Amino acid sequence: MRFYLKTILVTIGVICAFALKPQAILAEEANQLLFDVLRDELDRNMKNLVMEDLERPYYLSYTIDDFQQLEVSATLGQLLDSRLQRGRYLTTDLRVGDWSLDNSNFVSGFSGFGPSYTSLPVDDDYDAIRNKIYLQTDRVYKDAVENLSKKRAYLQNRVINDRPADHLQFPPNTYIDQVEAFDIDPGFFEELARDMTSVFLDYPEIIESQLRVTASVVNQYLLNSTGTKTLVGDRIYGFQLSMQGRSEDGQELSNEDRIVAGELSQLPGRDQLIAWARENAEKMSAIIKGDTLEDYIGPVLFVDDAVGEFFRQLFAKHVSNMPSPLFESDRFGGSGSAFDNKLRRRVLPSSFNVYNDPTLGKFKDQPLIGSYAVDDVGVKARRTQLVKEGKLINFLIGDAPTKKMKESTASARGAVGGGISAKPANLIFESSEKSSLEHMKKSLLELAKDIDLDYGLVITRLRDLNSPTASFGGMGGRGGGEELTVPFEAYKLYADGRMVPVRGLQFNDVSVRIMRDILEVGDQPYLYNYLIGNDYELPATIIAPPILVEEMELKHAEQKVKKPPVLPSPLAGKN
Amino acid sequence: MKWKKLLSRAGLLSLTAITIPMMVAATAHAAEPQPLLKAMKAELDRSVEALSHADTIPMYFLSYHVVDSKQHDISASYGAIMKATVDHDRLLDIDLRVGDYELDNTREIRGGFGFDFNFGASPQLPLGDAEKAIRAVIWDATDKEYKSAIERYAKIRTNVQVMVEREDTSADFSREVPNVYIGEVQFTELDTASWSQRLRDYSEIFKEYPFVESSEVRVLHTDDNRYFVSSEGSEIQEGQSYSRLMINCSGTCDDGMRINRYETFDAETPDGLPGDEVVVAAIHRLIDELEALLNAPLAEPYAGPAILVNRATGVYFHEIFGHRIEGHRQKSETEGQTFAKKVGEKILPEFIDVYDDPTLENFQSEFLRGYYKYDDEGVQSERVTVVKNGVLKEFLLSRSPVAGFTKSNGHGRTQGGRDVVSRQGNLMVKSSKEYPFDQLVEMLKAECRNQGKPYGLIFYDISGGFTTTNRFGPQSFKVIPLLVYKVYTDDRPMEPIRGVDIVGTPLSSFAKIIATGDDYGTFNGTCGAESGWVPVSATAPSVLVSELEVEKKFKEQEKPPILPPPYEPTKTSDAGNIGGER
Repeated sequence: MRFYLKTILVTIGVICAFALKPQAILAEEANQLLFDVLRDELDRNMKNLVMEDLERPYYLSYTIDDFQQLEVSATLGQLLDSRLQRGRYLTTDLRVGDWSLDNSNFVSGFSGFGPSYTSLPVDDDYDAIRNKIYLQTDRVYKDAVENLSKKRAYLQNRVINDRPADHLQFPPNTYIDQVEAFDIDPGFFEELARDMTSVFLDYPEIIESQLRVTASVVNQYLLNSTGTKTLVGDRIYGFQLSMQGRSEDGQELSNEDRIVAGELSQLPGRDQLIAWARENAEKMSAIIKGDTLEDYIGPVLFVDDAVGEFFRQLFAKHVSNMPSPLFESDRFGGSGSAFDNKLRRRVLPSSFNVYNDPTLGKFKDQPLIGSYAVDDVGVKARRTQLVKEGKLINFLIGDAPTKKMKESTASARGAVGGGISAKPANLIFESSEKSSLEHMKKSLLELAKDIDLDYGLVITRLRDLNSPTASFGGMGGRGGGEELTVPFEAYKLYADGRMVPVRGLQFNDVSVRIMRDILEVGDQPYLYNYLIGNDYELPATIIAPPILVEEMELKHAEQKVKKPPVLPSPLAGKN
Repeated sequence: MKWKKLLSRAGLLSLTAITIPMMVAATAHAAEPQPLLKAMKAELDRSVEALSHADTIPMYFLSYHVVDSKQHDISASYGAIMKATVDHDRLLDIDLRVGDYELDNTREIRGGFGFDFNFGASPQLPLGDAEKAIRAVIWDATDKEYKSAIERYAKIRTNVQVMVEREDTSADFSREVPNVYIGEVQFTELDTASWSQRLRDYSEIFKEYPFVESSEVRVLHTDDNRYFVSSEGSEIQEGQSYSRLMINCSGTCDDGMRINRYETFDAETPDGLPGDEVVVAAIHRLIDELEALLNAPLAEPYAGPAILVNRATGVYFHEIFGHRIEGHRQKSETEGQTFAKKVGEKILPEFIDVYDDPTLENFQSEFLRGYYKYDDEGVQSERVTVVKNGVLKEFLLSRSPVAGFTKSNGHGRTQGGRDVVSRQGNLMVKSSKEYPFDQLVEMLKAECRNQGKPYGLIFYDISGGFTTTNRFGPQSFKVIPLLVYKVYTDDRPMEPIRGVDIVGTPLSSFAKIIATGDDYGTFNGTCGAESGWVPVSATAPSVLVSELEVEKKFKEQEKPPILPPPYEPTKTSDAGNIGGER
């Protein structure tokens, strides 16, 4: 399942209904047509594509992402933008050499960064589609033979111990899913966006507010030279709300919230969505009026979205293992992961087990958006245990083995243009020792009391790692290069049960080691759907219970404080 | 470095447009102030009232400029639609000034290696008519703009004190009379189905020719509705429309060089674009030219007599001359200021006049893309005589005065979302030494014989070029020819050649024009510079130059495709005719 890099999409715009060609082609025939084109061009290239005395391809894989995508943004009851587009992208992965040594994973100049993509016609025209595939394959092949010869020359001059093979071989797989119809109705989402953002007209203290709605339908066709043929139909709907305001003392504050669903029927109804927007406006308003804290060193209870984001940033981000790319120029090198030396070592308390399970469809009746049947290289999805009794026992890998991992976990995922790499799907965190939330709150207050505080800190939301919200007055990003982004929603919890919002905090001195300081784990796991990537591409899910961390350090976010607006907002009263 | 590039490509022949009736529905608004303009005005009044009396540093000028732009874009290749999109956005530009007309927050901060640009993103305004929502976004943006204006003004005052006196001591902002103009605004609904079918049919033609590696036919229609209000009392609403049909094809020579051929047709509305007969003829001509060029010999570096054919001359003047007579380039201390101190001096041959006239909608029957009534600072556009009898008279000016010129002449332009600078509109080159084209070719041969050269060059098509106008680079230019022929002094036929770029320095190049044709041609394009992409045109006759220098161009190294196309093309073009047609 894959969605698209925003950078590709922005260049294009909204859309139109195309006039059908005189002989309207049925959806099923169209699907057959795409597979036919791929088959014919794949066979022809595997058989005939060779340049003088150079090597023929040993592997060729084509993926067509046939999609419809709507992006709507709105503010204060008005649309800012609405783009519906229909497109087809072809990704070509062509390898020369053999499974142990091929042209992949070698960076020379601008080449070597993953598979290559191009646009295909959206009309179901066999010749026109095939012509684009033919030209693209030619280009990719020429790059591949050149890259392989450079890579061989590079390896001749260097000693690399236990260099893993370049490519994992899989048995052929056939999986044919139902084709999803391109039936996104822009009017429906535009009206929703207007209605949902209208509520912000009542909140002049929220200086900027914006809702981004995305709806995508993707049918992915994959065919490769080992005999794998898959067709996956997918959809995703997302509502991303972002808000900015300024406290009376000039601190700039942000918050955001998101609803993601894999089916239209899984989305809340119109009234519920409007209520959700209003709830967020209320919460933002409270944050703006919230207390400040100079600094805080003490216990922290993570609940709701904050737990998912905590594990996403400290665990999910590090759990993929990929071979370090070889760079032709010695000036460059791959960057390591915080888990590099953690295999078979403790990363969580010994009560923890963690799984990656793309095959899990639902969790307590709630659908998981990170699920898939086959990964993006056509390998059947499977469940993998990553942590056993607190120790990391496996990494996720895609179609390239590494020094540490030799077997696929069916985790090859990618967005068009972004290349394929190992990424988590549904991560499930379980603990053998559980407490009720009430008990955890009690423990939080007791720990706080030990350090002479009459309150403990509860965090319900961290800024999304890949938030589309531009950084706002230094509050957008993570504080001072920490491993954790800034808390957007934090509360002081008092013994009498009062929750008082605290604004403008950032973490100090956090590393993945903090996960070992989890003292207590809740008994009610929480489902957190998110999207991996710089511009929201791959849907993923984390299921994790609330956690109580013994001691964390937070401080008042450092930022330039601006004076309040000279004029009041035109939303405030008569003008 | 500031590179300027004229995007669109010149074609070869002036074609008579034959229009076929097309269904085009337009949502036209009568010429009355739109709700957007009213909302802008309401928020402007409120801001002026408060900020002109702010106790820190008062604001002395405020304007809001909004481009409400909608663009249809459909493209096809090999008989199939590649994409069909519609884009609609509303970008707000705020010009907020503190200080006074003499010295304000917009002055160039000197030192600092010329990196004094404003990269801030312009806010997007809501697309609807709701006043409150529009005003809330304008209010937030104005507040930010005011705060950064105050900050920048403080820096400027220090900069003025620590730096030496400027060479050009003119004021920062000109005083102008306010204008009120309420024109018609509209959004044209393109008939997508009908255009899609036409593009499929056109693009399918290329399929028959195996040497055409990639090709595309594309139609674009843009409606730019512009709104402007200022604290001086200007209120302007003006709608502009641009339609364009673009055809391109390319192939690879055996030695790896990529050859591209383009043709573009422009009109104000989709109805004005040419009909099938003209488009199909243009496609076949491009295919013929592509094949001829693919088989053409590689040219060697050369300096000698040459003719630039009318539209190519237009591009040449736009790039090499036009950018250097833009007002702000005479003032900025990082600019080369080629012509800054040459007013009243002869800079071109005495038989050449140059003017820029955005008030012209058409030249002969050709639509001019550089037409507008009011510029993006609300100043009425006017015809500017830049050169008269070879003597430099005036620059193209926005409201940023330059030495000797205190008023704008309506050339302040922006794409929307960028600060206004002075730009070209419709550049016109007029000659009083005109000869029929055939005679000009004979004069070229004679000049070659005089100089002892075996051949001269004729440049039919230029794709645009690059010129450095700032002081960090050499004051030279490079122009990229697309279609060049060798003309021998004897009776041999013309021969296409490939692989050269025109290079030179501006002052010496123009001195070498010895005569012109009587065959005026217009190039329509979109010009990119500091203030973004703006529609422009350049009209000129063919010119004969005594010496033009060409150098070898960069060549791609990749071989043509290994396998033949996957389908069976049936035709080849008759490349033999190409030379004779000229």
